[in-house]
Amino acid sequence: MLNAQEGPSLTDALNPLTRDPVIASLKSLVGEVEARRIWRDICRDVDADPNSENLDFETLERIAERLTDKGGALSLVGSSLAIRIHTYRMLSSAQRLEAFLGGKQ
Amino acid sequence: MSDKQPPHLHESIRDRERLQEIVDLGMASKHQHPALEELLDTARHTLQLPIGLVSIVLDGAQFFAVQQGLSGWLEKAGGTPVEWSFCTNVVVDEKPFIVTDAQTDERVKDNPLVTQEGIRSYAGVPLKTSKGVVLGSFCVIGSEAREFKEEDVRLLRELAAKAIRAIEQSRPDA
Repeated sequence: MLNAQEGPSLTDALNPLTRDPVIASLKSLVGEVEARRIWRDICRDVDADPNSENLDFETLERIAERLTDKGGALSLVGSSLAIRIHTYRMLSSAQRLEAFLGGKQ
Repeated sequence: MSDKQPPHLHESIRDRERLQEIVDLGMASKHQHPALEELLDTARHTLQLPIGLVSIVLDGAQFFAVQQGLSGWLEKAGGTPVEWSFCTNVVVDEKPFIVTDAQTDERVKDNPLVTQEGIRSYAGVPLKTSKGVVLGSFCVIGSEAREFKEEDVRLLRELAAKAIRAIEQSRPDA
């Protein structure tokens, strides 16, 4: 929940387009070495550059789907990523992103 | 809460044991949960509120394991970024989170789900497993301001306890 306290809440919520939060989630669940290996493998599976910081929506969606399909801890990371991407995409397509960012109608 | 940290940044949201319990219970992705549907339906109808959720708080998003009464992008997304989740408060504090009028409640009045989606009232109770881990919130939501009585919260607690029993009984390795 975004609340009245300080924090990068709004912009964080609508900024899913980097690999770093995904890798951070993986690390917290499976450790750093395994997280890096999984990230490389998933990127290879979806034909993405594992070293690219900014990935497009379609690539991120494929990564989310792939993670979810793998089950276990990876499915949790995949679900989180998928929800963030879907939120961003749907608000963008409905041209409501600015309102959400600015908190006004 | 005991500190000024926004709830979604609290360490309990990313607690490894909590996240692992969500995974072990198979609650990180979409499945059919008829028993939970029925419990949520009871909550909505008894409290006469349009929306009910079994919301599982993941590390980056809240995932609606069961959702009733949602529409538009919220229904399609099946969750929200964790920053917007009222339910993170339930996970962090491990107690009910009650909002009687979101438009005047300092804790949530700037939340886009309030300013843009019209959420006005919320009552959520912890979904706490037998291991003592809070997965998320069993909650009801309305578009009008309203009070919640003690008996309302008691009902939600009872239904959440039944929900957890159903979730644990359907544990994939059970």
